[in-house]
Amino acid sequence: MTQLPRTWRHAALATTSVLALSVAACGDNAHHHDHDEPTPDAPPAGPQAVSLRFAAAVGDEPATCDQVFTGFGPNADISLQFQDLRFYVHDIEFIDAQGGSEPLAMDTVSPWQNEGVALLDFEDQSGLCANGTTDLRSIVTGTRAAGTYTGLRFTLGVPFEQNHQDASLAAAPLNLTSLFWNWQGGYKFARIDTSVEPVNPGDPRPVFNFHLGSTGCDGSPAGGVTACTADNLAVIELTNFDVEADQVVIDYRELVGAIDLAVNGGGPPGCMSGTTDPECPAPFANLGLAMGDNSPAMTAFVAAPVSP
Amino acid sequence: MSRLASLLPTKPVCLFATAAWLLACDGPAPTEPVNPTADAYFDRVLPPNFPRPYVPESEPMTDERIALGKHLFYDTRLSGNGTQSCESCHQQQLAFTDGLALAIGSTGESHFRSSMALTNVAYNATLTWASPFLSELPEQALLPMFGEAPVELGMAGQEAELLQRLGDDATYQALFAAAFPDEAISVRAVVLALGAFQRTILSYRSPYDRLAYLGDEAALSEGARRGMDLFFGEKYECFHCHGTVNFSDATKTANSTFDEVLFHNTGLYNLDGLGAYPASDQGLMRVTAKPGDMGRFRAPTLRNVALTAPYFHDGSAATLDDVLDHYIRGGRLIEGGPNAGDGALSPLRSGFIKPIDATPQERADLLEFLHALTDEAMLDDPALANPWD
Repeated sequence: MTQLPRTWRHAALATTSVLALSVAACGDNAHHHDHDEPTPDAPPAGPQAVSLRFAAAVGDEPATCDQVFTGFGPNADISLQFQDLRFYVHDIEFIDAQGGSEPLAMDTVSPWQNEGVALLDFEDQSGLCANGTTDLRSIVTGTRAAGTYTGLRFTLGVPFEQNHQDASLAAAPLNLTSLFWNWQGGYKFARIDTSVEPVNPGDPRPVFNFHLGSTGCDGSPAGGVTACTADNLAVIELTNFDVEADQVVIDYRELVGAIDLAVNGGGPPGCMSGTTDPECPAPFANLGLAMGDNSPAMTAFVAAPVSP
Repeated sequence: MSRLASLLPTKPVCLFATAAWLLACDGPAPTEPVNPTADAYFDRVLPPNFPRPYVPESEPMTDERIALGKHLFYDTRLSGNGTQSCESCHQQQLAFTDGLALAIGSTGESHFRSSMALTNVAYNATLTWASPFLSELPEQALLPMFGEAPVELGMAGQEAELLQRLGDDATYQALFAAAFPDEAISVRAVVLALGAFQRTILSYRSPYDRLAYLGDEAALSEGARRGMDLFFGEKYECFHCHGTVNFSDATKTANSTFDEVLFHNTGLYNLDGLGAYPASDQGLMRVTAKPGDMGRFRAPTLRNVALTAPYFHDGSAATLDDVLDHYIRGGRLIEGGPNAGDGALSPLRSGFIKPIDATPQERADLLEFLHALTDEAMLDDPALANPWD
């Protein structure tokens, strides 16, 4: 694509479907570049069906509810089990080598995908995930313009318009009561809860709940929520991503880093997106979310080849 | 002659209230659609000149929904571990609160707030102690049912189990079929029914109401009449925040033309000289994150207030006497401990909170008036009682 004349690219960008054709045609057919339309012998290439794969991991291991994971905390001596591991995504885009992007037109897949919002679910109600669901979900399906893409971008969370609806009326996947966040007038964008092994067997188990969601929301009885000072929508970008070969992995070890999961330094145990909660800056930064004046680098999500 | 008597028998409440309430009484016709089932219910129950609550058209108040809601309200199957119902924190004999400083949830976890009385909850412009946008009872019901920080009824993630419990019960099969003939049993149906029932928790039969709405001049004692004049007068200023038919400025009626969102900092705390409240509950700021919303809470109704001790959002005043001490001082002084500070010096407190040169007689009269807001009939009304007994 880099050698395409500007006029050709502009014409191709006129509509999504034209771009789809043009991208498919440009690879081996450079002699067609001075035409605005693909030649009849070019292979037809309409929108592509895409299945974007996600995974949840703890380092190299899949994150599951029925397993104990070790080596957390500043001294790498904390063990934990998951109690929940779910998150919403929207605004998925594929990035091409020029930095342009094409959106994924998300399918409607009951109960996982609706109106451009998808739920990813890595808990199966086993182990300590008692308030979860037995179903799992690790893909987002849809269509995109055919083409060659090198990167991926998506937003972790629920778009503002859907986030502040009346949850008692919402359609799946926004009807899971464990993801309601009514006192903030929204949803938990991500719910990743762990139960920490006590130092002394028999002691109460500390929990480290990570609930991401919009805070600082204001509004009125008639208009509902009108604005949030901290939308906490994390835009995740993976610069090297091939949807055919790769999957999006959220790595819990990267999300929490070396913070002490067994000690609650203030606010609710773990981080519930509170601006003054001492357990929030680290996981927020690892999602690339600023808390204060920093502009952190996102590390919690990585692109990784799908295991053979 | 008292100021009140000259106004009887027509719309006396308008006089006592804020400018906006006056507008609501005499202003343009309401723009919101009417709700025929709600209108019929309130016409049947309330005195003719008693203002009607606003009920959204989408939330019918049929007898069948009210009956279903009452069964649900009193049913411990609405909690995860089957130990609590709505009633656990909202008991009829206590004007639908629980007598505790801080509520205790079904798992034993303490709430950081005191259970609110549900008296006349239908009139609330907003719900809970401090939310700028939560105004519909069905939506609010999701909070105690599914909220997790803290756990109240503890049903988060267990909606399938809840619907199974209800669907397996023959009583509910009949109640749901009657209330929602075209719908399956759903969370939405549960919270709509709870809302319909909660709107029937109405206080309109207190001694004050007999005077104000029925013209019964003998309904109040002499002391209570003097207390009423103090309550509605400029020396004590109580009516600014506790005006309207519901003794709360955050009130919406069928005649309201404006959505008024009102919250007040009453100077209960001042940890840092800048008006800080304890981190455990900073009021509206907890939701909006606006520094100016520190310590702002919705004024609760004072109907049945004699029954709803302890007082304030955190139950930090044991008696009505303590409440009067706070307001007469113009802010609360806490001399030691982690919450030490002088609320009277808080820059965030409402302008109506100021020191009052109160006499013992005035205090006694005010207390007598507050007791005249008790609606004994509501506390014993079989229509509000546990239907499972």
